[in-house]
Order: sequence, then C-alpha cells, then structure tokens
Amino acid sequence: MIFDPEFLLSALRVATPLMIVAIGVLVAERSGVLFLGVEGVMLCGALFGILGAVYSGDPWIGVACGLAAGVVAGLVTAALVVWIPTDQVVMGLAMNIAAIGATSFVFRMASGDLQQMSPSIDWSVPSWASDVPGFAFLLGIPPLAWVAFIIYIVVWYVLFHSAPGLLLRSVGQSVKAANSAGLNVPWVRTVALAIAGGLAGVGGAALTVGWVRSFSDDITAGRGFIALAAVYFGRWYPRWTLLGCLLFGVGEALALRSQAFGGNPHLYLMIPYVLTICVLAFSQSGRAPREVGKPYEKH
Amino acid sequence: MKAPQISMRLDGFQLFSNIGIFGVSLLAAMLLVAGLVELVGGNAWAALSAIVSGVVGSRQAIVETVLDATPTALCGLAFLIPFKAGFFNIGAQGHLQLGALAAVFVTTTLSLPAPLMIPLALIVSALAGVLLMAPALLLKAKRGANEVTTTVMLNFVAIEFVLVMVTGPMQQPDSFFAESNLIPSDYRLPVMVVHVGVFLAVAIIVAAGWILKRTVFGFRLDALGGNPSAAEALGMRTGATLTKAVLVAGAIGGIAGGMQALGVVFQVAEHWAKPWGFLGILAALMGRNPVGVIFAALLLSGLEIGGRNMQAMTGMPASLVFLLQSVPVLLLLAMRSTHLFKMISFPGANR
Amino acid sequence: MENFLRTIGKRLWRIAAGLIVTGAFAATPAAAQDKVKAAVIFGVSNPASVNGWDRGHYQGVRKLIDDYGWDVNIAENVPFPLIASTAENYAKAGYQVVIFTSSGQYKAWDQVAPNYPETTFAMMSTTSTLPATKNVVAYEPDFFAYGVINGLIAAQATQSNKIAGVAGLPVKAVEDMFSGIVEGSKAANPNAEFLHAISGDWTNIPRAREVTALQIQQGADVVLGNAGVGTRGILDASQSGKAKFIGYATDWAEDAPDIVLTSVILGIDGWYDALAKDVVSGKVEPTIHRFGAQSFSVMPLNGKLLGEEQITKIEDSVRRYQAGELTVPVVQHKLK
Repeated sequence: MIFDPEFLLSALRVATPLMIVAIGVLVAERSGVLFLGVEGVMLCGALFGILGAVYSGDPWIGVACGLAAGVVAGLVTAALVVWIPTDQVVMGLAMNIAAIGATSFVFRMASGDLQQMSPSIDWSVPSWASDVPGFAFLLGIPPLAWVAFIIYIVVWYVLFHSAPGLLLRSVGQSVKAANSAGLNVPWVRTVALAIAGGLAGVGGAALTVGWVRSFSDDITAGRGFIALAAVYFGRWYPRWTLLGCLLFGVGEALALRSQAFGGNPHLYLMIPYVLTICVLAFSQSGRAPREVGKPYEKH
Repeated sequence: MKAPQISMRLDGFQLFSNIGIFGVSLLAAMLLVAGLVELVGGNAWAALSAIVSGVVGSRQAIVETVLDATPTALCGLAFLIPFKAGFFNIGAQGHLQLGALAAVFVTTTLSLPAPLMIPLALIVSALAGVLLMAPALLLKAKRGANEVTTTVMLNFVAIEFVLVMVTGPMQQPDSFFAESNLIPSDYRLPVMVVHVGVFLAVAIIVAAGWILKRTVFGFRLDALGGNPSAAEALGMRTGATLTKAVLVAGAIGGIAGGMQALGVVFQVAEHWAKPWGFLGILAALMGRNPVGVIFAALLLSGLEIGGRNMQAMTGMPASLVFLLQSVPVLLLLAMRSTHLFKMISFPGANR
Repeated sequence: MENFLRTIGKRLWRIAAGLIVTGAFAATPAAAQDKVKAAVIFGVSNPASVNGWDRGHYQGVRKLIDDYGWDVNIAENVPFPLIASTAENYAKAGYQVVIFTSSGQYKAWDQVAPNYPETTFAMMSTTSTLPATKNVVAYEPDFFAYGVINGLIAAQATQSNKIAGVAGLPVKAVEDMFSGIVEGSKAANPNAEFLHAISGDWTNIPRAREVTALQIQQGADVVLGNAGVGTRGILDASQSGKAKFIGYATDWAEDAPDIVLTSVILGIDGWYDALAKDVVSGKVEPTIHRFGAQSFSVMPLNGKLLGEEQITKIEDSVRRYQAGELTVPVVQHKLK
C-alpha cells in the first residue's frame, strides 16, 4: 500500500509544480538574481492559469495564461531589481505579499465564475488500457511532468552547452568580467528573469490547473520557497535540483500515506522537510554563483 | 555568499528626503487602496479614515501596532545579525513557533512563583530557538549545506511540531479547537500600557545595535561578512564568531515567540501565528541597522493594523490589507534606490 | 531641487495631519439607528466563496441583512492574534451584536465579552462552556447527529462498501461527526467500512486532494469532505477517481454536478435566524442552543448517480432518523 504505482504518481503530482518553478529559479540565480519573489510569481501564474482555463474551457490555454502572467511578473521583478536596482531580498519578499493581495483581489472579482472546477489537463485512461498496468501508469503521469522533464533537458543543454547559457552564467559569476566582455548585464538578467518568471508562472498553473483544479488565497502556501530551497539543495545544477523536487514529492506523498499507521498525522507531515534536511546532511556543499544577491551597480 | 556592505549615513538632508519619500510612498499606496475600494463599490474616504484611525485613532490602536511590531522587530534583528556575517537566517518564524510552544509548556506544566517563572519561560523559549537553529548551523559548518534550504525546511518542521503538540499531548481538554491550555494569569507578562516584553525587546535591540557598532564582536561580524578569507588570514576565529551570531539569532527568534505567548496570545494553537519572521526580514533590510529595524517594523505593523481596521469597519476585501502593506515598501525602496535620489543625496557625485 | 523637496515635504505633512485629524473624528461611534448594527468575524477571506462552513455562515449573515434589515459588517481574514482586538473595536464602536463563527475564536469571546455588557456576543459554533457574563449566547449543531445522517446516506450509496471521510484537523467537532458517520453507516449497512484521514490544514487544497486520492485508491467510492477551503481538493480527487461526493454544510451541487450525490445542509442560517429573533425580542440569555437532527436537511439526491429505488430508501432512512423512529447509539470513536 505504501510503495505502489499510485504512490509514485502522487509523488510526481506533488513534485511537478516544484520542478517547473525550481528550474525557473535556477535560471534566475545563475544569472545572479536572488529570486525570492518566486512565491508571488508562482501565485500569479496559479491564478491566471485557473482564470484562463475556466474562461476558455481549455486547460492548456490556462497554462499559457499562467506563463504570460509569470513573464509579466518576472519583468516587473526585473524592473525593480535589475534596473533601479533595489535590494533583491526585500523586493522579493514585498512582492510576495503584494502578489497575495493582488491575486486575492482578482480572485474575488471572479469567484462567482470559479465555483466549478477547472477542466482537467490529465489524460483519461481509455477502458481498454486500464487493464494494462504499465500503460495506465504512464497515462497517469501528469502531462506537465513530461513538460517539466523536457524543460530540464533544454535548460541543462542551453545553460551548460551553449553560448547563450555561458553568457548567462558568466553574468552570475562575475559582473566585472561579463562587463569587460561587452555583455549588457541588465539585459541578460532581464531576459533571465522573464524566463524564470514564465517558468514560475507555469509552475503555479501546474499547481492549480494541472493538479487541484481550483484556486484559493495563497494556495501556494510556501511551495515557491520549497522550490527555491530545492535549487540551493541542488547546488544550482539542474539534475540535483530535479532530484530535490522529486525527493520532496516522495516525502509529502509518504507523509500522507503514513496516516494509516495511526498516531498523530502531523508527525508524518514533517517527513518531507526532515527528509530533505537528512539528504543534505549526507551530501557535499556547492558554490553559489558568486554574484547572487548583489544588485548590479553600473557606477 | 558575501553579504553586501550596509551602512546608513544620517545627515540631515538625507533624513528629510527619506521622510519625504516615505510620505510619498504612503500616499501613493493609500491612493491605490482608495481606488480599489471605489472599484468594489465602497467609500474611499471612509476606508482611508478607517486606516488612519486604526493606527493612531485611539490609545488602544497605537498599543496594537506596537504589540504587533515587537515580534517583527525581534525577528528582524534575528535576521540582521547573522546577515552581517553572510548567513541568511530565514528560520525566525520557526524559532518563534518553538519559542512560544516552550514558553506555554513551561508555564502550564510547572508551578513556580511568578518572578521566577517568567524569566525561566523566556530563557526556555530562547533555548528552543537555539535548538532549532543548531541543525542549520551544524549542517552549514560541517557540510556546507546552504542555510536557506535548511532554515526554510526547519520552519515547516517547527510548525508541524506545534500542531503535533496542540492536537496531542498539549491540547486543551474538551476544547473544540486545536489549542493548548491558556497560560495562567499570574505567569503572563505584566502590562504597563504595553506588556513589559516590549521594553525588553527594545532593550535587546538597542543593546544589539551597540554591540554591532562598538564592540570587537561587531567588527568581527562585519569582517566576516565583507571578506571571509581576509578575516581568516588575519587570524580571526571566524567559526566561533559565526556560531555566536547564528545561535544568538536563534535565541532572539525564540524570545520573540516566548514574548508573544506570555504577553499577547497566552497559548499556542492551530494557525496562531502571523508571519512575523518574514515581515522581520523585510524590516531588517529596510531598516539596515537595529534601530532602523524598529521603525521599519512599526511601519509594517501600522500598515497592517490600519488596513485590518479598514477591512473590519468598512467590509472591504481583505486583499487590500496585503496591498496596503506591501506597496509602500516597494515604492519606498524603489525610490530610495533610484539614481535620481542618489544624485540628490550626494550632491556633486556621480554626475 | 532642494526647495522643491522642502515644499513637497511641507505639503505632505499638512495632508498627513489632515488625515490624522479626520481619522480621529471618524473613530467616534456612529449615532444609534433603528437598524441593528452587527459584526461578524471570519478567519477566512471571502467566506461567500468558501463552500461549506463559511458559506453557510455567510448565508446566515445575508439572512440578517435581507430578512431582518440589520446593518452587518464582515471582518474577514482576521489572524488569530487580532481576533480579540477586532471584537473589541466593534464593541467600542457601538455595535450591538458581535458574532463569532469558529470555535477557534472562543478565547477572544471569553476575553472581550465581560468587558462590554452593552454588546451581545454570539458564538455560532461548537462550544461546551460560556464566558462568565450575561451578554453571551451560543448556537451550535449536534455534530454526531449530523454525522449519522451522512453515514446513513453514504453507507447505502456505496457499492464498494468503503466510504471515506477527510477532515482538516482532528478537532472535537470532527471526531463527533466521524463517530456519527461510523454509527450511522453501521445502522444502515453493517458491511460498510469508514476510512478516515486528516489533511492537516483547513486551507491546504493539494494535501486534501492527495489524501482523498489515497482513500479512493483503497476502494472508497463515496467521499465526505470536511476540510474547509481544502475541500476543493477533495472534489478534484473525487472527480478524477469517479467517486461520489456528499457535500458538507451547504449545497455543493454547483461545484461538480457530475459527482455530487447530495449535500447534507447544516442549517447554519437557521442559527442566525434564531439569534436575530432572540436579539430583536430582547430575549438573549447566556445559553447554548443546540440544533439537532431535525434542523438538518438533505438536498435531493442526484438521480444520475443512483437508482430511484436506492434514493427512496436513503431518503426514508434519513427521515426516520430525524423523526426518532430509527435510533442510532451515540458512541464516541477516537480518531488518533
């Protein structure tokens, strides 16, 4: 009952939003921006994802809306954090609070229309396939999980095996060097934040449209921070970040299943967090992109 | 991670411009809220006056603001101290939770005369914070594990642990709610307009300010944050300095929780806490030094308390409270950092 | 530039001073009117949109406004540390009735009510004690009986003989309700097994969703969801797992018409009705009014999900229980 295909699917469902958001955070952090506002951007994507899905009737349009909302939020972040620039931490945290307020407000305006569930993005299992165990399992994997895996491969390749990726990473490593190489640091970071914001938005849509098909105030409830923690856990490398998200998904799925053993359910709900810390205890340290957190001062 | 060098010069003109910018941000946020209020069919003027009266309209309102700002300011200090050494302490919320739990546990299980019990409860809550901070510090020191991950995770662990207690061993018998027993009135913090914890908090913060600015420890902290390798090369015991700073931060977070329990809520329960830990981080980076943290915390609390009064008295959506709290911060910091402002405040430089 | 800033600064101070003065005046209580001035305190945001307990209370509030012409203000999203001061501010501003909507607000009720004897403080939720003062009253449901009705319906609607219940936290009201479900289902269908789980939070939708998915995987085909805001997640899991859903407290048919079998209405607006009558007639006594099985009602069952015969049987058993013809033993079951 504990470790069966349904368990893995549950873990994947938990991990999918985290995976997508985390890869976005990774891109931003690699360009030297501490993306603490990720929670707020994810929330925006979550809301506009649901709005898009319900009003258009198509969940994928919802995902696209989430993407668009995320890109806009990412650009706003860029304007505040790269162009003015201001302290990245404060701006991120303040934007999170502002996002809760803004999304709650918009949700309230639309709440009458949102009483019904959003259309489902999952693939339905045709009756002939439900007896074939492997097939049912594959179809049960959230479609956005596949999207996440593809994004990881793309980001890994671009970031570590292509020229633009190298440019982006160099901005994160040494602003002075990047500058002398002729790179326009603010523009690179803006692009990075647009990408990161878009991905965080898709991650938020993955939470609402792709998973629970509803929205509520502050539905992200700290998951954006978990994704951020996953990036740090993964030492800013895509594969370990992915692992961190999957680990968390496994932990949370396990926590919910363990209730069957009796005892206080809240004890089990600690599992994902304790598990992550334990794994950290047994792995080695990583080095942050050196410029992370420092506003880029051209003068 | 290197900590950016922070300093705050307080010359007269800069102070005045700061206040001017502060006023503009506040005004802009209030205009935004007024606009949204009109959008949903409310009365903007009623809303705005409710905000103001919620903060300064009566003695009780001011007391509420100060009471709410206290844990924010302490959590801000808990972030600021290790931050100077380059350590990102996101764990204040968790320390606060455990600190409150510990204080409630001690005061509802033991029986001592009040003058002994209250300090004991505060010490225990400080220890609880240290206890929660320790794994994050250890993992960073021994494994180089990033403290952002560990402190964020530990926050959640702390919240779930409190829930374990209030739905289990510490649950108030016959209660219909997941809450602990109430702290007996003898053991609650005495009140002189505000509970005495507020004065203690101010003392802690002022002391911290002095220590950071004028003692060797403060200097070591700055050196550690500015250039860790140089500090090591100079023979500073960077490990000991960082440890002290981080553990003290944990203790302060714990005390913040203990004070809330002993002075304001008198119990722990499901969803009993507000996100003072995160607002504290905001306050820390807005204030940049311990005394500045106090003002920033008062601002954040004032905005929230005023906003909530508006919400309660005019029936406007609660989402406006969040906007009222965050928009001034965004504007304030954006304007403070703008090159325009920099040109004004350092006349003649960087043109 | 310096002059410009100085002028702005001066003007800002004047505006700020003006606002503060206005605010001080606005803080004075409004003149007494014919309309009863009441306030309701909610912990959630936008209670009208949270189907279940909170919407039920919202419907009660609307009854006060529409049927009785009261002037009601809703405080929403009130954080735990601010509940007492919110209630106090209302009392100080001259509100005649302050209404609490959750047992979690008990401490504030106990703390504030004795200090403002002119205001009536009403608790519209489960409680076993009252604050030591005269200006209080409570209205609560019999959650065990409510659970029994749910159990009767679920146990007869299930084909797999497994019914599932998901709640937010294991508080007493939930224990009472789940105990009622166990006993009610036993009375209707001794073979039915009740699987229960806790999502851990009254607002966490994803956790509630996954916990329900697990129960459906274990064979449950009827789901009872009582997880506050999180119940939306239970709906999603039920839809995906093709389980039937029985709605909590209010009518859930709109939310997922294809899987909502019925909703057992808690009748919260009836409590508000009783409160209004008591206040208007001046007969507010420090009592706990309990609403039992007769105050609950069942929405028409979904004919697409069950056969007509079954529906009639279910409705009949509920009617018999409410009339007292069908007795169900009151046994408390521990959840943990």
